[in-house]
Amino acid sequence: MKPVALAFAFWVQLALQAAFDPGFALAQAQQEDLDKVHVRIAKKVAPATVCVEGGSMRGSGVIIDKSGLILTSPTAVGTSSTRVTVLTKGARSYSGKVMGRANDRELVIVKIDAGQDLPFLELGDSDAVRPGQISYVFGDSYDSMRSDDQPAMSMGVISGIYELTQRHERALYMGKVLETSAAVNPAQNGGPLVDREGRLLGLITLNYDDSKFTGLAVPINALKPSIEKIRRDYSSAPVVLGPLRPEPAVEPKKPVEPAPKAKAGEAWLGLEVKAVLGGVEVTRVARRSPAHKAGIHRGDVVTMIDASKISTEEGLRKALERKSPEETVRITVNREGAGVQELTVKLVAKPEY
Amino acid sequence: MILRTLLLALALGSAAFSSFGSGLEALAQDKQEVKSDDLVSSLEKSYEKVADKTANCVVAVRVDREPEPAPPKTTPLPGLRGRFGAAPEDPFAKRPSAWCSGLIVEPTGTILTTYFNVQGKVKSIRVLLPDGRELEGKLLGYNGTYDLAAIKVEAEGLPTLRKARLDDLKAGQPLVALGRAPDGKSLTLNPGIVSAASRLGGKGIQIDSKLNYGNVGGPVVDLEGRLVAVSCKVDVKYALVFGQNSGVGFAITHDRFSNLLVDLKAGKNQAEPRRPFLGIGPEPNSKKEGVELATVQAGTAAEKAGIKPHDVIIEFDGRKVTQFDDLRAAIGRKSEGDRVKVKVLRGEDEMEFECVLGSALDDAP
Amino acid sequence: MRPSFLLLALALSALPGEALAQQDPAARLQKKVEDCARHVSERFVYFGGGSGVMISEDGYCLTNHHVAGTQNTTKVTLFTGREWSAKLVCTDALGDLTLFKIEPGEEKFPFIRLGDSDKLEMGQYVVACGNPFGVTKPDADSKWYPTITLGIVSAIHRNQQTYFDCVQTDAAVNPGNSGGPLVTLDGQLVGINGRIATRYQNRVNSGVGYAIPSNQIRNFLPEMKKGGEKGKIHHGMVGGLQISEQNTQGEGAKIVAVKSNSTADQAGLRKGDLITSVNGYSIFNRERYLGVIGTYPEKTEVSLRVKRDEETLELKAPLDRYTPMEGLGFALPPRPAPVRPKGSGYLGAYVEETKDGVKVMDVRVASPADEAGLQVGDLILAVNDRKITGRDELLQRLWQRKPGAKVKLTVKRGAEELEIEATLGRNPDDE
Repeated sequence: MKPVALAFAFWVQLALQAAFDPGFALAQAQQEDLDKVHVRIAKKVAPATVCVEGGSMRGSGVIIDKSGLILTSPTAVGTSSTRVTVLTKGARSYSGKVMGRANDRELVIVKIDAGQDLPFLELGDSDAVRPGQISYVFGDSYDSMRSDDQPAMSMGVISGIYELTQRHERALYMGKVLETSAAVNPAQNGGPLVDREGRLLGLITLNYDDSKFTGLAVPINALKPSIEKIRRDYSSAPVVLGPLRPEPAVEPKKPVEPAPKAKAGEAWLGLEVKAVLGGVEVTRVARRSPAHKAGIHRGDVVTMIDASKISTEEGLRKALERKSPEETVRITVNREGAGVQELTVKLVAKPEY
Repeated sequence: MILRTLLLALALGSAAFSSFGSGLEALAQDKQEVKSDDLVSSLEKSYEKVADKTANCVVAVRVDREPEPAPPKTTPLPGLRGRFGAAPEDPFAKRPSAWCSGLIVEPTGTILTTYFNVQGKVKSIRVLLPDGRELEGKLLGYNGTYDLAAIKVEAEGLPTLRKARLDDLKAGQPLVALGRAPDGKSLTLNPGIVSAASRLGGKGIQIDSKLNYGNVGGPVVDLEGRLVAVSCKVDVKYALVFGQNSGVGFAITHDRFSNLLVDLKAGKNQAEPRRPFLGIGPEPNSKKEGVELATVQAGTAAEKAGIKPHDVIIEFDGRKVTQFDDLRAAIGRKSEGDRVKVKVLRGEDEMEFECVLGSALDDAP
Repeated sequence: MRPSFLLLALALSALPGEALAQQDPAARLQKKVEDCARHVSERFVYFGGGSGVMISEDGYCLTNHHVAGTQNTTKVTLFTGREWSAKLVCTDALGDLTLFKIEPGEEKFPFIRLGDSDKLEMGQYVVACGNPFGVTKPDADSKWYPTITLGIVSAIHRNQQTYFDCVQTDAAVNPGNSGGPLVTLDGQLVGINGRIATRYQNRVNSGVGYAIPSNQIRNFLPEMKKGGEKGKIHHGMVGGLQISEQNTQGEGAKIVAVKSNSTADQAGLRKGDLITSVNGYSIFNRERYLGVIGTYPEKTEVSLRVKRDEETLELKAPLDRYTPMEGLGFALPPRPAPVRPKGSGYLGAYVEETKDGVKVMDVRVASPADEAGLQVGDLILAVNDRKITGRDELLQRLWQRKPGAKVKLTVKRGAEELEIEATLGRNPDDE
C-alpha cells in the first residue's frame, strides 16, 4: 500500500506543479523562442552596420554615436582617403568625412550627416572577453548592403585570444586579436564583432593566421585611445595617428616563441599605462582586476611598486614579473586633486586559459 | 483504500492538466520577450564550463623539421590564374609553422595528436603544458589510417579528461572542438554539432566545428567537458578537398584509443592510411540480388579463401548484402587481419568462405 | 509487492514528459536540433553527386538543376538505404530547381512540409542536410545517414542574380550539399541549398550558403507537377522595361524607358515611374524588384504599385517568358546585342557595357564561366591578351570560337587584375 500511495502522491504533486508553477508552463511557451533567440541581436546590430567605400575599396563599418560617427578600417576605405561613401540601412547613401585614422590599428573614423538620430552600438570591454563567449559578426556580404539592403550576420563564439604576427590580405594591424568561430568573409573588414548584448568588442580584420584561417577582429580596447584622441583633436582636417603605410614590425612568418619559462601563471595587475614625467599614467583599468578592486583609476600616475621606482611601461612589467600571483604589493599613486596615495593591492594569476 | 487514492489522484491530475493548458496560453502571450536570452546565457555558461574543465588537458605542440617538399599548386578552380599567369598558391596547401594542438591521454605523459602534425623529417618536438612547462616530446608511434600519433613527455600526474558515453551519440548533439592558439598560449574553442554519429568506417564521428591546422589533434568534448573524440584528417593533401574550416570535420572516438595506444607505444607505425581489403571487383551491370563479382584479385583475402569471379556475394560478416555500396561500407567497418565469414551463390549453390582481410592504400578519409 | 511496482511504473510513466527534465535552455535546444536532424535525415534523398529531399508521400522530390536536371531518369537512394528509380517531371534551369518523381507502389514515403520562407528572420536557427564531399556511406544498420549542420539565417531576400530571392545561411554547406534541404528547427523546408560564395575562392565553405526559398518553390510547384512545357518551366519578367542602376535612396526601382507595345507598355508603366511594391513585397531598388519577379514563373499575373509624380497607381501585368538581358531590366540596352551564330562557343556570362567597361552582369550556374571562376561585377579587359574595346567585340571574339576552345580572359576584380582560363561549352539553346 505505502509504495502505491507514495507513487501517486508524487504524481499528483508533479501535476499540481505543472498547473501552478509558472516556470514550467513558461518553459513550454519558450520552445518557440529558442529558434529565434539570436534575432534580437540582429534587430539591434544590423541597423547600426554600414557599408563603406573609399580609395577604390569597399568594406564595412559600424555606427558608434547617434550623430553619425562611424568606425571602419583603412583596408575598407583606403589609407589616405579624406572622403568616404557610406551606405546605411534603408539603402541610403551618404558622403562621409574622414575625421581621423590610425592605420597601424586598422582604424578610420568617419562622420556622416544623416539629418536624424542613427542607431548605434555601445563600446564593450575587450579585455574582459574570454574564449567561449558568444559573439556575432555583421558586415556587408558579397554586395548585400547595396543589392539587398542588409548586412549578413554570422554567429559563433570568441574562439581564442592571441598575438597575430602575420600580415595577409594587405592587412595593416598585427598584435593581439580576438578570434571568432563566426564566419568572416570579404568586405566585412571594418565591421562589428559584438557580444551577446550587442556591444562592440572589435572591428573585423581580413588578416588571418595561416594555421587557423579563422575570423579575426582588432580588439576595441586597442582602438579606444585612438578613438578618444581623434574625437578630441578633430577640428577640420583628418587627425592622422601613426604611420600612413605601416610596415611590419617583425619579419612575417617568424616562428612564434611562447613566453619564457614562467611559473604557473604570471602575476597580474590589470593596468595599461603610458610613460609620463615622474611615472606612468594609467590609460586603462581592466574590469574585475586587482587594480580595479584597489581603486586605481584612469589618469592616476603610478610612481612606485613596493620600493621600485616606475618610470616606463617596461619598468612596470618587470616589477610585476618579479612578483608571484597572490602576492600583496604597495602601489604608490599620484592622483590629480588628491595628492599621493599608497594603495595595497593583492595580485592574482593572469586569467588566461 | 488504494482505489480511493487512485481516483483522487486521477481527478486532481486531470484538473491540474486542464488548467495548465489555459495557464500556458496566458503566459505565452505575456512573456514572449522575457528570458529569451536565457539560452544565450546557458550556452555561454556551458562553454565557460567546458573551458574550465578541459583547459589543463589541452597542450600545444611544436615540431621542428627539415624543409618539406613544395605543396601542390593547383587550386580547385583550375582556370584561375593570378598576375603573370601563374596558378595562385592555394593558401591552405602549405603546412604552417605555428604551434598546433594535442591532448594528454595518460597521466604518465602520453600525448595524442594527429599524425600529420608530426610527419616529415622531424628534428625535435616540444610540448607546452597548460601549467607553463615546456617539455621535450619523444615520438612513440603514428598511424596513417587514423591520422593519429602518440608523443611522450617526461611528466607525472598529468590530468586527463573524463570520457563520455558513446552509445547515444546522435546527429544534432552539441560538441566543442578544443585546441591551442598559434602562439601556444590561449585555449581555442570551436562549438559545433555532431553531423553524423558514425563515419570513417565506424572509427569516428563527423562534426561541423571549424577544424584547421591549428586545432586538429585537440579533443572534441561534450558540454560537460567529457572527452568524445580527438579531431583529425586536416592535412595538406586534404587541403584541396575539405580545405580549412569547411564545417566538414572528422574525429576519432575515444573507444579506439586503448588498442591504438598499445600499437603506437610498441612503435607499430603505419604511414599511409590503409583500408581493409577483400580483393574483389563488382560486375557493374549485374541484375542479380547481391554483389556479382567480375574480378577476384590474385593474392588477396578473397582469392586465398576460394572465392571466384561470377560468384554472387549475398552475406558478409553475418549481414545480408544486396548491392555493392553496402558491401564496400561493410568491408570498411572491419580492420586488416579480421576474420570474416562471406556467403556466396555459385550458380545454384550457396557456399561459405572464411576470409582474413588484407589491406590496401587509401587516399580518402 | 508486484502490483505496487506496476502502479509505481504507471505513475512514473504519467510524468509530464521530458519538459520537466529539461528546464535548461541549452538542453532544450539540443533536443530540438536532434529531433530536427532525425526528421530531415529520414526525408533526405541522395542524387548522384548531390542532395535532394522528399516533398510528398507519393514520391515527389526536389533537387537542383545543376545536380540532375539534365537526366530524364536517375537512380536515387533514400535514408533506408533502398535505391529507387526517379523520373524527371520538370526542371527550372534558370532558377536551378528540378522536380523528380519516384513511383512508390505500396510504399508511403516520409516527406517534408514546405514552410514559409517569408517568415524567416536574420538570426533564426536553421539546419542544412546534405552529402558534402560524398562522405556518406551505408552505416552498420544499412541506413545512409546524411551530414547535418547547424547555423543561423545570415540574410534574407538576397538577390544573387539567378538565385533571385535566396536565403543566406552560415550553416556549413559544401559541394555535395546542392539540392538538399534547409529547414527550420520545427522541420519545415525553408530552402533548397544550391550555391556558396567562398572567402578563399576554392569551393570550400566559409560561412556563406545560398538557398532557393520555399515560397519561390511554392510558386513553381503546381505548374512543375503538370510537367511544364516538355519538362521545362520558365521564369517570368515584365517585358519591355529598362530599369535604372542608380541608387534611389531606397525609394524603389526606377523605370528609365519602356519599349513600345511591350507588356510593360500595355500594363500602363511609363518612363519615370518608381515601382514601390510587387505583390505586396516592398521594393526599394532594382535588385529587389528583379528578385521578387524572379520568384514567379512566366504567365503569372503580378500586381505592381507605382509612384508617378504625386500619384500612386496599382497596375497589373502578366509575366512574359524570361530572356537574359531584358530579364535583368535591360530591355533597351545602349545598342542591341549582335546575333549569335548557331554552334558557337558558349561562356555562360552575360555582359553589358557600363561606364567602367564591359561588366559581367550574370554568370549562369555550372556554366563554363562559373567553372572557371568568373564573377558578377568582373570587368573584362582582354581576350587572349588582346584588349577588347566594347561588348560587341567581346561577343564576336567568343563566338568566333567553337565549343571546347580555351580562352584566357584578363579581368579586373575590385583592385586586382586576374587571368581566368575558361573552356567554352555548347550553348544550351543549340541543344
